[in-house]
Amino acid sequence: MRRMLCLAALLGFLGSTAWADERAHAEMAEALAAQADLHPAPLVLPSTAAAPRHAATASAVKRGTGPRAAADAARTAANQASQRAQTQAGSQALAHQAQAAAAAAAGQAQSQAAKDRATHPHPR
Amino acid sequence: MGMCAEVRAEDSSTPRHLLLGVRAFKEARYDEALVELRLVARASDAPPDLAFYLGPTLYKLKLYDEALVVFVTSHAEPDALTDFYRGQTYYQLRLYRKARAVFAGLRARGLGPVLDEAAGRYVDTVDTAYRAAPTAASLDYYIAQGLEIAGRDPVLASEYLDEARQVEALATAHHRHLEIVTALAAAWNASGRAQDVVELLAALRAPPPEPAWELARAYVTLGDTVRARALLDSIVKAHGAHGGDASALLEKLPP
Repeated sequence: MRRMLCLAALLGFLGSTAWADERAHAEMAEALAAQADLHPAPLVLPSTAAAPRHAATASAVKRGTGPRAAADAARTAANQASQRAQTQAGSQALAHQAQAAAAAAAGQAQSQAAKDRATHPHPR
Repeated sequence: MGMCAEVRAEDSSTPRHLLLGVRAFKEARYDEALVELRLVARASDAPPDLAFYLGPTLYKLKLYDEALVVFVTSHAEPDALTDFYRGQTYYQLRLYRKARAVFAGLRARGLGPVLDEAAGRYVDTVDTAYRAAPTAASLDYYIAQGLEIAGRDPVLASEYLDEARQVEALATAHHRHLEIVTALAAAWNASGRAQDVVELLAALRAPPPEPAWELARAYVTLGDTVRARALLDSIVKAHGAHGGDASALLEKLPP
């Protein structure tokens, strides 16, 4: 009898879990459809040619933080600028400029790292 | 009786957190949704389609890197809404070729009218941007991003490098082609996608040591020791990059 009760409880539990999952799925599907971004933001192809990151990278390298740290710092700064731009003005153009700046810093840091490796080779 | 008590103790807490997460998402309280869904993600009985909930929540919080990793590592059955948000995430990360492929695929499989129109707008926007051949600077951006994160996040790195590969295919001339495919192969090897590495590199005739090394590693992972051994032998004989690694790996291979 105890086993029967236990089995019934287990089946009830599994049934209620499945029902809850289905309900969650249905509600989420409705929310996802309602909140999808139906209009793409203007698109600007990224490029490593953007200028503002020269200063950030050079100063960070000069401070001795290294190209990797410089890239990280530049990326962080650019991301913050990008987020500010998106939040404050809703301006996609500003956000893209900031992100492009992040890309440029990463490229420069990578180039610096390659130069460092060439200058100070070490065995694999 | 013990079992009954256990069942009661669990009291469907994972579905409860899931539902709380969904309700928070519906009300645009995405940070709260994320807290609930992270609890779900840690549970042993997390739903297999967790990406359906967690990916869009991360997307709404603008945590695009993390969202993309959730989407691309999900083993759940393809789902149109999840894929739509995956496409949006690619777009936000400026992985436009990848975004385009997702939206075009969704349209081919069939969407409701509203999402279909939206997917069409994404495809058109990307196509407009790529009406002219991509520049070397644009390719350099994707390569730099991929290489920058390859060490700490090979899954995400492979997305950037795969974008670079697709963009490079649209360029009027090759630009860092071998570097792109080699880095992509390394990222795929590091994220358990050996079969993709083979499909990417197997067509190369007499590959240079770097891609040959990645291809050999993929063959080893897939258990194809015959092909792996042939490549590793050629790397050792070339006395170039990865010669030592290739020797060490050869010694580990079964006879």
